[in-house]
Amino acid sequence: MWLKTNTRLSPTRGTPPRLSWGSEHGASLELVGDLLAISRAEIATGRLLLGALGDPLTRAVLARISRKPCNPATLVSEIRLDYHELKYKIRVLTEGGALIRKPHHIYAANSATIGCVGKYMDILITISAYTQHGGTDDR
Amino acid sequence: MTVELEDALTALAEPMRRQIFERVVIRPRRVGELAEGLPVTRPAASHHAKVLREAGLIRMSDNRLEVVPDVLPALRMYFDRLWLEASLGDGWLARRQMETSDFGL
Repeated sequence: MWLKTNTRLSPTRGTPPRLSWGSEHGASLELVGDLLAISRAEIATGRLLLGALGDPLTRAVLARISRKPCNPATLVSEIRLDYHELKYKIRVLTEGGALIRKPHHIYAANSATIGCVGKYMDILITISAYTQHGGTDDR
Repeated sequence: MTVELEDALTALAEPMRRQIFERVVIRPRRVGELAEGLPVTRPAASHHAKVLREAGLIRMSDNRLEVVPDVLPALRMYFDRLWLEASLGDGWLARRQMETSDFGL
């Protein structure tokens, strides 16, 4: 299998990473991330934000703020949500790096963090494409 | 967002479930293999697989679990759109347009 090589994947010095498609979980994702120039921090951020977006209302809050930055009072009037619950969801998103607090209690979406989820998806799509085209002979 | 994506995002928020999903993306596996090397019991891994199947993320094929082909691009598009809206909201694209006159959208 062509991926089981010692090919140098990144310009880092030292022992080149070994690619083994069927290796333990995690390593493959990160090595494909290396190939796609996606850092481990970006993968971790993507996973973290994905974890925060399990709740539909949290997703709704992020989607609304992504369209236009606003303050919590505006959001309460638009989204049927208790103010304290809304503040909690904003806190979750802020701690996850998806929101940035600006002056006058305005919250804006952090496109860099949201982009990390897209990059994480890119890795999964790349691996999935390889797998679906018969890339794994170690079934 | 479609109902399917809603379900998929809800399912992927759970860290262990996401880890199991990643494993299936890397290589189609039997249900019994899912828990190998993970701090999870086989019944729990099987339950996570059931949730992932119900969310439309994975399916059973040839006695193995595999990722549903269209679901990852659909999720990617969802986050692309969110990213673009956030970039516009953040003024990034406006700044970029000012910096590069030939940048058009």
